[in-house]
Amino acid sequence: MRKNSFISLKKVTKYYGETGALKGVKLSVKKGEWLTVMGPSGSGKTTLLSIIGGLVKPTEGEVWVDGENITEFSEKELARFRREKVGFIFQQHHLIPYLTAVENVMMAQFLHSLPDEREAMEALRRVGLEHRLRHLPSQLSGGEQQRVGIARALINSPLLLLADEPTGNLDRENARIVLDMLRRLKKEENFTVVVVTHDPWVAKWGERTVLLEDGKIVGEKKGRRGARRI
Amino acid sequence: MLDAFNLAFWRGIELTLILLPLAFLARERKILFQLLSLLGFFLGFSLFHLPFLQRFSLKIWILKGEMLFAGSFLILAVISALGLEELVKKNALFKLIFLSILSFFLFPLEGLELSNQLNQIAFLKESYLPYLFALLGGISSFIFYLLFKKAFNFLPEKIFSLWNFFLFCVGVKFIWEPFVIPSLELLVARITHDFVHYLVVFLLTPDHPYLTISFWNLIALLFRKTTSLVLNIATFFFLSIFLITYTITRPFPQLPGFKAPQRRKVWAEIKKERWLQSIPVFISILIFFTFAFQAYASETSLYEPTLEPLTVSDKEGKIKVEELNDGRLHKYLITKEDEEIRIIAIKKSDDSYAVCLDVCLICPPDGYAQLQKDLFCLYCGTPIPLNTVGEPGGCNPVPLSFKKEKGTLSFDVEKAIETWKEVNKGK
Repeated sequence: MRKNSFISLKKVTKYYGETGALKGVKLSVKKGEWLTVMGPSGSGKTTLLSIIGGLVKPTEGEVWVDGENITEFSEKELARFRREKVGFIFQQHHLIPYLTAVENVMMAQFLHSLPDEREAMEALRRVGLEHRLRHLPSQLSGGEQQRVGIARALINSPLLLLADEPTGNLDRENARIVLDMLRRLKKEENFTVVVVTHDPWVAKWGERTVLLEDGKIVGEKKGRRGARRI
Repeated sequence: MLDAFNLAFWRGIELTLILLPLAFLARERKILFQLLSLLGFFLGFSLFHLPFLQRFSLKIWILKGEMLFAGSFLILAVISALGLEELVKKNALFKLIFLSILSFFLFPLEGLELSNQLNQIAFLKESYLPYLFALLGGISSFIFYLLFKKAFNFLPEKIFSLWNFFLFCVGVKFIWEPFVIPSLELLVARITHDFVHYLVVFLLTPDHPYLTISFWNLIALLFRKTTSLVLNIATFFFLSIFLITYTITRPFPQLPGFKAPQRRKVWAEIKKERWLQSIPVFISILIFFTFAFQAYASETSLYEPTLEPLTVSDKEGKIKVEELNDGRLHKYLITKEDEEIRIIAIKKSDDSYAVCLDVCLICPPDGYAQLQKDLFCLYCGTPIPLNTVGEPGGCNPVPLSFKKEKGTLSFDVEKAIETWKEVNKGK
């Protein structure tokens, strides 16, 4: 593990039956870094993200996050790890349809500790939704729904934000709003971001990009340009 | 001796458990403390009257009783204004003295019935027992006070455990003889009763058409043990709910320097702990109600003895002592020249006997029945403790002087008839 790594993957392999999703992946991410993972469909991007987030256990290898080897965690410890250290953003938002925007954020608070409506409202204000607090997800646009998702993911001040195709359902303009917002919030709170995408345009918001193909990292690039094959 | 220690032990616990929540509220510096401590002392000192008066054989009721009551209330106001915590902050000797004095006043003399056999011991004369028990109560209270304070440091959450324990004690041991409410209730009831009897009935509205048996039955409700039970349940229930509500809803610590999620995390832990600690209280409430229900269900109904004709020889009525050995109420009928009078007789718990007319000075001659350890006035519903039967005055049956010889109790029938006529004149 690199000395100042926040995330470190050591020869991580994941097999679903006979199918290899990840094959000996080595990866390090610094604290406060924005890493983009790019690759075609079926390359293992989501599996990689799920393993880093403690949703899936690797078949082999070790995953270290914030100084803890999460591959040795029990299910209960993993739940605690996810609850306290990780925020997730999904392409499909996964908001609860019969709860309002503020209630969706409060649900994350409730699962973490205690709901606090004022804090949840403040979180929505920070993502520019102070006028949509009492709206149901169905009454919000796709971009607004994703911003509720971001507020929900960040309400418990996670150290790590994992985003799986966060702009996959958005047009360019809304995608820009969401990514700008993420960049601003990251600057304010200095959490680490790992974004999975197949869109090179989204990768421009990251500080480093790795290219994943057939379960292996095949390229890496720092800065705003897309990754090149090694 | 075991009984005496047992009694002192429980009184000590009771006293400590009264003091602890009050001291906690005092420490919290809540305005509510002033009100609660006032109420607590008010209830506690309501016990003051009967034992105090009985100790010094002051059988004064109407005016001096109320003056004493008002005086006590004033003392309570001063004590609660000073704050209990301030009082018990003093040194250990002061605490022991304070608790002993309080124990003395809180100690119901009626409880001494439990240790009647102690009267047999020469050096433990009855007159010293209240002082001895007060001291024992004070010492045990002091020990409990220190232990609880040391162990729990007055954490409100821990008060729950004590309260829980207290509810168990009450449920198991004092369901019918709890120590606060009946005394207060008795005080209120007697004041009401005496006020109505002496002022309204005798002085202002004799033979009033509306002051009928239904009216008396309403007043009698105050005297019923069932009322005590209900009041006790209500007190413990609402006090428990108050404690639960107060503990769960009281503000969380501010935790400056914590980020919002960290703060929520700590608060969630505190909240969870508070709920967990309140579960035993809920369970206690359930258990308390179970005991209450059992106690209520086991209450025996009125025992009304059959009227037996009494033989009169040489102008003397004679009752065989062996008839009374069952400890139950017996009623006898004497018929002379179209005049019928009823006599009651009973053997009391101290093995003495009482022979009385089946009527009191106040009510119409409906007579008495027996309700467990009381006589029960069939007109106004007033319970008369059996050990006071044979004493004159008020609602007690009018006593007759009698002689005990050769296994019989004999009394002057002429005098009994004359007294019967006199007592019932104008009723």
